[in-house]
Amino acid sequence: MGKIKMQGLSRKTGIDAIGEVPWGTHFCQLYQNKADLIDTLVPYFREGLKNNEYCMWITGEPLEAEDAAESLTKWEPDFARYLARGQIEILSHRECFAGGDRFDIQRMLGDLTNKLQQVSVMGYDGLRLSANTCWLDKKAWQNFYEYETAFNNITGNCKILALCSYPIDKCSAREIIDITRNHEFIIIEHAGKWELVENTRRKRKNVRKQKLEVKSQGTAEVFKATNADSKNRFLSAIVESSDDAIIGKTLEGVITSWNKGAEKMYGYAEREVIGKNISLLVPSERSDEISQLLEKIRCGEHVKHLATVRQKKDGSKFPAIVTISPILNDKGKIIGASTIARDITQRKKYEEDLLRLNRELRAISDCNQVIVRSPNEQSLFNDVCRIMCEVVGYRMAWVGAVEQNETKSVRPVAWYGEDNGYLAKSKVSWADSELGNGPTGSAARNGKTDFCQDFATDPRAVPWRDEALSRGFHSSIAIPLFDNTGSVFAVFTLYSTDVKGFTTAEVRLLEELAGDLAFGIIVLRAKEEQIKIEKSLKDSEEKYRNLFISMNEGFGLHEIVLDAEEKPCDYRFLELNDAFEKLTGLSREKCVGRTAKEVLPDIEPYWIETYGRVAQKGEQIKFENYSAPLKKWYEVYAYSPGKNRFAAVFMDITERKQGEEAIKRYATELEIANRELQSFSYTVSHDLRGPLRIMDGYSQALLEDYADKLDNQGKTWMNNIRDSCRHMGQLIDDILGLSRVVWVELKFERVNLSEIAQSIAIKLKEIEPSRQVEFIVMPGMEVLGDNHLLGLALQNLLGNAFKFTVGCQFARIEFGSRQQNGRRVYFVRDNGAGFEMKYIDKLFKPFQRLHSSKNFPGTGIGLVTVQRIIQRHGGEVWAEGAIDKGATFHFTLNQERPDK
Amino acid sequence: MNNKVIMLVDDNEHDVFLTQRALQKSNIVNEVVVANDGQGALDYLFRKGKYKDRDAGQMPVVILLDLKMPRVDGFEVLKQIRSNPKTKYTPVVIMTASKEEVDILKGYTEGCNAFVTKPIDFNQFAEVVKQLGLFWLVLNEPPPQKQ
Repeated sequence: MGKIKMQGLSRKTGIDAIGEVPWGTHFCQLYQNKADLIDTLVPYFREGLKNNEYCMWITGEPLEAEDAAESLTKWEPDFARYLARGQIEILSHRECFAGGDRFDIQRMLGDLTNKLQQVSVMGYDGLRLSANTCWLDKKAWQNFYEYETAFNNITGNCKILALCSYPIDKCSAREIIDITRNHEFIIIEHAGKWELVENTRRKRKNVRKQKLEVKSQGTAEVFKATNADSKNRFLSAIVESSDDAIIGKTLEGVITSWNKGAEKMYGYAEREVIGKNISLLVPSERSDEISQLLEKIRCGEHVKHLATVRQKKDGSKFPAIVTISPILNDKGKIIGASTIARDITQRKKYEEDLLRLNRELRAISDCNQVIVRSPNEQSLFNDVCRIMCEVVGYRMAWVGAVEQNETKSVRPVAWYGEDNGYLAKSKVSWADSELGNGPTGSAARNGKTDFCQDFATDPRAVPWRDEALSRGFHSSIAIPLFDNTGSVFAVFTLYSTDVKGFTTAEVRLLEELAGDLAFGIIVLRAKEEQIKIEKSLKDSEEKYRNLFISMNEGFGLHEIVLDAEEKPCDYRFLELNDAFEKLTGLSREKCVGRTAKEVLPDIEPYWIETYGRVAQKGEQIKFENYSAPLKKWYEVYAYSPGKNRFAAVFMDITERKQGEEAIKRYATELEIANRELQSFSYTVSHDLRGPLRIMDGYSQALLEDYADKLDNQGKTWMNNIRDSCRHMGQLIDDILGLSRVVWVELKFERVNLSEIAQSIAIKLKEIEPSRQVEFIVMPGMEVLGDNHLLGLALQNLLGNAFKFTVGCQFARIEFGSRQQNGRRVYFVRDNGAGFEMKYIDKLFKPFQRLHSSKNFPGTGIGLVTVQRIIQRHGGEVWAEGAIDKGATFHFTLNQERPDK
Repeated sequence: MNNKVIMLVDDNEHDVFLTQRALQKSNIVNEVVVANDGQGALDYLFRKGKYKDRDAGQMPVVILLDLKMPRVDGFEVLKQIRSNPKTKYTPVVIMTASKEEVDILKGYTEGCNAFVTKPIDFNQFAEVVKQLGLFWLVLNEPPPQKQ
């Protein structure tokens, strides 16, 4: 029974039998029953809670989590408060240690380091831990034992107190030895008291640490060595059982003693090295080190905790911590040196792991800050990639967007580190193909973290092997990022310079980070969406506001006024724009707040009825109406923005309306004129012809019945009357024909001009069979037009040609066509009388003739008719000719845009 | 050429004179009943007014009808002729100065048997009248007379 007092930051254990211990103490208890556990663990944790330590109590049979909480509640009045602020965690071993045969040491250590980090971040002094091991069976024992060993390697330097509870009934002697070996001391309930049993080896270390200065001030009873003999025996036992190499040597460096630990560490048996020089154990590049160290010893100095490198028998090197002390003879003279060397390969690895985990944690913390602060996705990805490379030390980090395209590509969106064109060359896909079977593609496809443990050997890494190795990538990890629908939207990929560069603990941290990152992106996207919506809302609001103010259309928002029967009887102006004032001539001040009838007492009922329908039924209508009080026409679009309200957008269309009215008036006038013209034509046709016929009839009657009373002159004159009658009859017919050409409705169809011309030619020849006239008609001239009118035009043109070639011995009339300036030009050519070009203007004027009626009878209407017909077909007609050299009439027909 | 009666409906006395002259020149000596307007024609045909006592058995073998007449015009006359069972099948030849398509169409719609435009040249006119007379008086079989 006693108390251990040590230097350093001592913590009260709360257990009387132990008292204070320094941070890093790992001890245990052997218990029999529930009472034993309550007796020790309740005060243990009470003390921890009081001293600002984070408490973690892993419970097990026979004191389960509920019992533990109950006991603490009973003994610690402030327990509820501690629990509420999260200073204590009570959990079952089932939650904490994975079940099954294997016990995952790496994971547990990772958890522990995590925990320590959190505890420190939360502001606690350290971690107070207790765990019940009742669940351990034979299979898990060895595993757990290794864990406890590893645990010691870590906890030695940490602010942690660990009390392990082992059920004594379940432990055999062998196991108790294991327990003893792994814990600094054990407490056992004995005769109603807790007794402390100390681990000799650990005790010895403590002794050595304190240069044997600390006396065993009545600490553990097992440690009461009083005489030299037993002391020597004791020390020898320590030397033999130590895992450290303990080597004796002369001042010249000749090895004189070699313990089991040394044998195990260096691989040499005792007999192989005794008498040899210590330099055997030192790598050649450090050969100077030994002489320097021996020199120090000769001067009586100690060499403490020298971090160096030593060499095994097989030539492999390992990191070691070496402590060298002079050996004095009885007279105090230095005769040699003792070397204690410890292989710190494992420790170094743990340290490195820890360091890396620490860096990872820092990276997570950095990343989380970035996640909170990033203004957008791109900068978030950029920052996270940068942190992973700069803070954690990965060779490269990138984020690839999983594209839903045909090639299923993974598009790099952000990267940092030793890229040097790697991503551009890698063409990663998430399809089930060679380029999609790397970690990134697989992670995207399967939604699971994937690795390439070694680029040099992993067959999946073939497409990227050379490029990766040349950039120092030896392993990689790819972690999927999930969006809020649970699908992978991106993959986060990291490259390490080490083969198998990602420990289990690291993977868990990285996955956690990836989760945070994905969450950050989801939040960011939601935020961006929100901002976009807000902005577009604001924009559209502003746009509408501007539109409202600046638009040329008048705008008014109104409220309908209802009478007792809920029928619209008036409306009130609520809001009006500038254009309203301009278009109505009413000022906003005079209108807003007042009703239509107040402003315009003579307003027509139509307005109120129409707007009433809009406001009450929500109809949207567009109408045109005249306002008598405003003396204006308006085009109005009205809709209802809410119950009993209507908005009217309107334009002043007075001018247009007046124009329309004028057009309507003209149209009516034109129609009347047309009707008059038709009736005039009728009159011409009927009434003017009648008198002519009678004049002619009587003239003939005179010539027949009174021939004996008329001399030759009288007869000639009578005949002149008759000629004039016929001529006037012809004139009347031609004028009527022309008016018909102008007014008749065109019927478009395919017209074969060649055929028409041929039949006209035949008829012309029949009229004067004595004449020799050659008609040449180009075959196959088909056009789109009015058959009757085009026939009439050809009749006139060919008839003219026939008429004006009367004096030719060899009359030649040609009808053909040619392509000219992109259009088809038709022509009728003759070799007849022709005309003087200076009179060409008169050619197409009615009643204008270039030849005397005597030689060439006619009314002067024919060419005008031709011109009207061609014009109605959208074409042009023109002529050329010369006296006695014939005439040519050209015309075109626009078949695309027929005149309607 | 038997006792078949030709009816001439025309308000213009000169036209009547010239038509009768043309008939004579063609040696058509049948009786020509002249009505100076539409109403007169209808009165004759349906034995009204001054014709109420005329011989009911005597119906014209052809009616030469002018269109433009005061009071009852030619179309109206034709319409009434066609709507009365007594005259329903009586041949009617519209003889007018008009060449208007609308008139021609309307004439046939109302049931005329022929539409002839009077030429201005008297010789031509005489020829037309001659042909008409020959056709309707000689060649054409008139509808059977009832009663």
